[in-house]
Amino acid sequence: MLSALLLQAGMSLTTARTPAGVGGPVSGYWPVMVFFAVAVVFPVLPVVLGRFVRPNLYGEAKMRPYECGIDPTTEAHDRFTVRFYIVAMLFLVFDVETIFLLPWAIIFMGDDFSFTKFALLEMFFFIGILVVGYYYAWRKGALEWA
Amino acid sequence: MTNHLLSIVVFAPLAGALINWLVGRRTRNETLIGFVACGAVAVSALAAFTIAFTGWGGAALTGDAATPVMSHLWTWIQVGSFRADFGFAMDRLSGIYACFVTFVGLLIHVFATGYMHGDKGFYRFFAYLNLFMFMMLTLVLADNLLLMFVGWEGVGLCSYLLIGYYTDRKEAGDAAKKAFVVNRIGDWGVVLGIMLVFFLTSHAGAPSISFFDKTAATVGGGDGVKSALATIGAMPIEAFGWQMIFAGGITSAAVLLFIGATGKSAQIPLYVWLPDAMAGPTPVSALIHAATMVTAGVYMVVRCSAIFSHAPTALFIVAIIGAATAIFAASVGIAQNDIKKVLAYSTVSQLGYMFLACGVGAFVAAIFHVMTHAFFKALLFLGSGSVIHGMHHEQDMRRMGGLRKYMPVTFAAMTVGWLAISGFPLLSGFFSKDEILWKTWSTESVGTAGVGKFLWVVGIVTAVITAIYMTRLMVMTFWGGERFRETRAGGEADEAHAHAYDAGTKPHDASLPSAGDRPRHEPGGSVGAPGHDAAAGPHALEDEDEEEEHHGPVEPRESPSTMTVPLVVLAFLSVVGGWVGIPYALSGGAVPNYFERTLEPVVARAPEAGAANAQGESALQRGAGASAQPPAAHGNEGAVPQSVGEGEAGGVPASEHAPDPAEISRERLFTIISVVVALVGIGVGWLWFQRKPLYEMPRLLENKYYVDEIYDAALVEPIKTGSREGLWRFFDVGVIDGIVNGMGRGMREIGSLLRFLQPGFVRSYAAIILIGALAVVGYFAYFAYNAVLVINR
Amino acid sequence: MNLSFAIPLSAPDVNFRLLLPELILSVTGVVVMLVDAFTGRSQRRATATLSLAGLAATAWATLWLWPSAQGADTRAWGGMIVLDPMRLSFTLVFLIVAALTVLISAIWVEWEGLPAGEFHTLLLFATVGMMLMASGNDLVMIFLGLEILSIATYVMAGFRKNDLRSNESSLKYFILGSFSSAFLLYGIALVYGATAHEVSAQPQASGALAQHVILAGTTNISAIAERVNDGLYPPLLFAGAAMLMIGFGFKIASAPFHVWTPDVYEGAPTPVTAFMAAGPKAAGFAAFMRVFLLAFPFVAASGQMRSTGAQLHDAWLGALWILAVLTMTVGNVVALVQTNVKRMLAYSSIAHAGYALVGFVAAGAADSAHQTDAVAAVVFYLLAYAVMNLGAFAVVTLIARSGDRRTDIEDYRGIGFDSPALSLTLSLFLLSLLGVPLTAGFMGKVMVFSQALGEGYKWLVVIGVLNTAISVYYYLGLIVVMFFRERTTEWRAPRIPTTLAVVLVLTVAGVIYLGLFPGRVINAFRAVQPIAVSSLR
Repeated sequence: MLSALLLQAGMSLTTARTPAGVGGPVSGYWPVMVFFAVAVVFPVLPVVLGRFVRPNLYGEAKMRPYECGIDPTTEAHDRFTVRFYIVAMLFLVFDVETIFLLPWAIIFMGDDFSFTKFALLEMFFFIGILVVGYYYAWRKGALEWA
Repeated sequence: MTNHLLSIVVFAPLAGALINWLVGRRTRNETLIGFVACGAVAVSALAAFTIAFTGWGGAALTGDAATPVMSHLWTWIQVGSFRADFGFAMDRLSGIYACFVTFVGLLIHVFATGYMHGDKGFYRFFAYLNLFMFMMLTLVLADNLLLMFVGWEGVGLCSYLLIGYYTDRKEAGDAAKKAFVVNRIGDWGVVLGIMLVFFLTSHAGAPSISFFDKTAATVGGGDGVKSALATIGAMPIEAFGWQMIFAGGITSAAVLLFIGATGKSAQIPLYVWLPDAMAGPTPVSALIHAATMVTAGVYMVVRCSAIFSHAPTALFIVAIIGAATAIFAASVGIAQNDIKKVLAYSTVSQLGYMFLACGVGAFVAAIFHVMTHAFFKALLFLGSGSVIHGMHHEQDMRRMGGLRKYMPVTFAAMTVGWLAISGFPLLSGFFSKDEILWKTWSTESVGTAGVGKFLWVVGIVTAVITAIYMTRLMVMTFWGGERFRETRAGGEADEAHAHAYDAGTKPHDASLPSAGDRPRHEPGGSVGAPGHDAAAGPHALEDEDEEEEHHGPVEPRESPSTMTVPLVVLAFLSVVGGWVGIPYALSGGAVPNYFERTLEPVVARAPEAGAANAQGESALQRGAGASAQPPAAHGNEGAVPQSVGEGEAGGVPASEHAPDPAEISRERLFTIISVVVALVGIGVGWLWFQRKPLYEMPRLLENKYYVDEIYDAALVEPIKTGSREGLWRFFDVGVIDGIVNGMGRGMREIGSLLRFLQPGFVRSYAAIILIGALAVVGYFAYFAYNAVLVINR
Repeated sequence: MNLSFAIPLSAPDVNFRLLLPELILSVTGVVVMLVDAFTGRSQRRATATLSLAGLAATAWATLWLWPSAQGADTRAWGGMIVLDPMRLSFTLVFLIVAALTVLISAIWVEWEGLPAGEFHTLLLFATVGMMLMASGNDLVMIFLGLEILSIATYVMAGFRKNDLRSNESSLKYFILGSFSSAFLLYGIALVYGATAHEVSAQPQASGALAQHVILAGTTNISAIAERVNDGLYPPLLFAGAAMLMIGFGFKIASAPFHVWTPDVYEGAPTPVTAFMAAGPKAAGFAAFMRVFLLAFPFVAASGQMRSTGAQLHDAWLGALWILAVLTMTVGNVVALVQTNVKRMLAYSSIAHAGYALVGFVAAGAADSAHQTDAVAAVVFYLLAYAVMNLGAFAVVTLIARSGDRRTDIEDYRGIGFDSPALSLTLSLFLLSLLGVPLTAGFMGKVMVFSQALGEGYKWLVVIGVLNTAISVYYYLGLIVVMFFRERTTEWRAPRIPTTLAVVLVLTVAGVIYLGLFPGRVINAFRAVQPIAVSSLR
């Protein structure tokens, strides 16, 4: 009996430490669950509803890819030349560099000079590695279009 | 004591194997290869006998002290408390084994130089054979269970290599694979048994898998090791009951070890590989599948007698399996026509006898039979090899007959073997078999006391059948008409025999192009110098080659002296080999029972029905390989009463003590029964088969009770099909893909979600991963729920 | 919004000394890449030699670090990287795998006329990724390592650009790998959330933040372990752990997350398959073990009830038990019916992951004194597996010839006596995989099974040993095919090039050495327990 009381006391202590607005261990997740439910229902519902609501009339014209315009002459899944992807990747590399540079610039001058020194060196290394990669891509002919 | 000569016993054959593989392969000189191979085994035998019998070597066998001779090489594994050494030890049990293995091995090596003469893979054969000796000696001399298992697997591997020696024959490959797979099924039992022994000793506070106590001095520093057998021997004897098998105690360990023994020693239900193993060359059959390797199971059971004696249930199982195998295999053996198949089933049957002895607690008798069996069965196999050789690789007994005038030496030697295995008085087999039967009748151990009489009946019936089929073999081979002429001529005789095999499902062995044990000869006859000795001369290259060419009638001829000399030596041993173990009842004390006196100290005794748990104590002391005990405890003086077992109240080992007269006279009576049985068996066989050597045996027996077919249908096929159709196709592809397709169909209608997932099977893979993920998350969710409950309480 | 209250910005405690192996190898990778770019295509030898030299230097650095693994100075990057014997022993395994792969691939690169420099660069980067997985003491670090490894292996799997099978393999690996990475990342996020604590922040004078409690989780493994019992959101912790297990389970190819393995292994070029079966799998184990053993240990509560830590420990240990059984069984049983050697070895690699998991389970259940032994046993197992597996694949590579044409079991018919060197070594490796005594495979099995038994997992060991018995059938089947079947097609014994001969000698020696004298290796591996490094946060 006594131990049960003590346990309860311990429990209430734990609950007391729970920050305000977060709630109990399970109830705290209600928003997540609701979100999950909505996420499932949202795409499914229109389709299912549409099935009941829409008239089911299939005609030749209706079954065409587009109900108007010109018939496609090639496959819809066309193949693009691989060079586009290479360019896209190169772009991504430098894109990431920029993304990384921005926060770096913001916190560059920290409270402590030791950090500034470190950060400066580190960025040189980072850019150095990127340059190596760029050079490699260049040498391998990734920048040549023809 | 430590004596590193012991390592030479083990490693000499390995050196021989390496030399033959590296040098012999280049030179292809048969004299050199044969010399190296035989020399290696001879060195090994010499060293083994030195250690066993001379004081300098340590007198492992004859010394008063029953302490083992040790040779610790290095600590092999040490993980946590799990420790295994790479070290050898020879105590009295392994001493007996080492001596007969090396000696019989030597004889068979010599024989093989004649038998394999002219074979293309001569060097390979002897390299394998030496490797086998190395592994067998490792098995026998290992000082712990794990190293023993190394040898255990190693002999299996060499057996695999040698069964499949004729690589151009498909059935050899299949037989080899079958042997290995069946053995592996048994091996999981051994591995688990070893693990369980470790587990049990860990719980007793002395984790160990060692057979012997090893002091820090022996292992060269560090901690010593306590004997696992002693630790288990100190535990109380487990109750008798089926539930003990699964209790995870000593009985479980014993049963697991015995499963391994059924694999290696060809007992029901895992015996099926041994008859097929006859696809290997005959010396291999003699060495591995008769004399040495197949008795490894018996060795292990006796070595672990401390474990088995604490597990009456296991002993009961051992006895029943042994007896069942004995009679079953004997009944199959009577109907075989291939001379080696008869001997193979005979081996299985005799091994059954040995396990029967173990099961009733007569471990000494089991080892005694192992030894005598090694002599006479090696003799019989080599004799059959000689016959096959003389008959130009004909193995079917229906095509033999009347050979005694062509092969007089072989005939004489085989006769000795025949009489020995049949239990003819005063030959080796007589003593050992008689002892087993007597111990079976008089057993008082907890498990088998009730069924002892029944097992004895089984044993005696087996003895009759044994005598009959051996007589049949002899008669068909050496007496009667010279059928090899008729069949080769293809006249009426062929017709007469035809129904015997044509009606059967399988074609006649001899009608197959590659039937039998057929060394491959170098086509050009360009083998090295033929002469190990003069007798090999006449039987030389030309007619070796000739026989490959045509199958006309050929005169059988006596084998060269490299082959007959070992036969004679073995025949001599088959006669006198049993004299070291003459029971008290027969000798009246005039000749001491050396064998029993030597082995008594190192084996445990089965718990007896009347005796209480105090027995456990004595089993401890005996089971420990006596190494824990002061040396003088046993042996001739036998001053210390360590066992309260039967007839030992006076403080003298049972072998020395004169039992009460009633007992003696009863034992004598049973000896007479044995003799009568043997003579009856021989007589029946003689009368029957002398008249009708080609008498057609029941189809059921000839086809070995269809066990192979049953195994195939009941085990092999379902597993294969299950794997193919079930797990792989059904689960990996069928079900999951079905689900995905089904889902996909549904989904397409709903929201075309899965349509744009990748084509091919990636979607099924993703689905499997997803389902697995859901299962894992669900599993965790259950515990999360518990945790939340606890917190919310 | 000013966030600077949480992170005082000062130069981090980098401790380059402990990063030396990774740094050396990364620099080597970059140098190899540059050499390749500078010199064009025909520099096979140069890049291979350079890679081997870099691997050797890294190995030297690793060995140099070994004695200090027990000292006080064992953390770098503010606790993101640790130095302990577990990391070092795994690192050695990776280096051995990488070096052998370089040697195996030499002949293959030549046959296929592939850009060797690229291959070596990718291999080195993949190795760096593996090393980071073993040394990371932070979930983010481990994830980074895993991605470095994965992206490199995706490319390597599809390295034979003109072969559809290779492409398919790469694509499947990429898609399913990304899928599993997502699980892992989600798991990391959930764990971070679950370990949220109130941060004793000094609230700024103004702003809405001051009225709320600031919550911050952690991804540092040692810090997670400290917070397991008093995290704010226990269920999230369980979900996170489950997700992590799925992610790592994919990497080590444990059933039911194994499904990608056979297709990917079969399609990938053989040297790459060899690498993937040995290296990334070991790396997966390194990270898997570090995270679960150290971040989710058994934590008893002060009261009488089961604490969250204990529940979590129960959960993952139970799940791991099931995974181990499933993995062994599925791997072995399905391997029985395979007709392609690479596919068979792929299923065999699944089965071996199962055996290693047995040791992992033992490590999970062990108290800290025995955990060292169990972890060492697993590392030993993986080392043994790496050696024998690479040896086997080396032979398979040579027999397959260019374009991986001969990889069916039928192609091995009767080659036994025509090229005894190849068939005998392959037989040795198969026997070792099977666990025949005196080979490395046997020792490994003995070690993991004895550890599991020591922790009382009888049935797990029974199932494991039964599985070993099943595996005889297909390993032996290949040997039988090699030695006992008549050859039906034209077959010429290939000449064994020097590099491959070196590999075969090394792996054969390794298999026998590890089988006979495992003592030194295992002692080095268990020098000290994986240490907990206190976090900076």
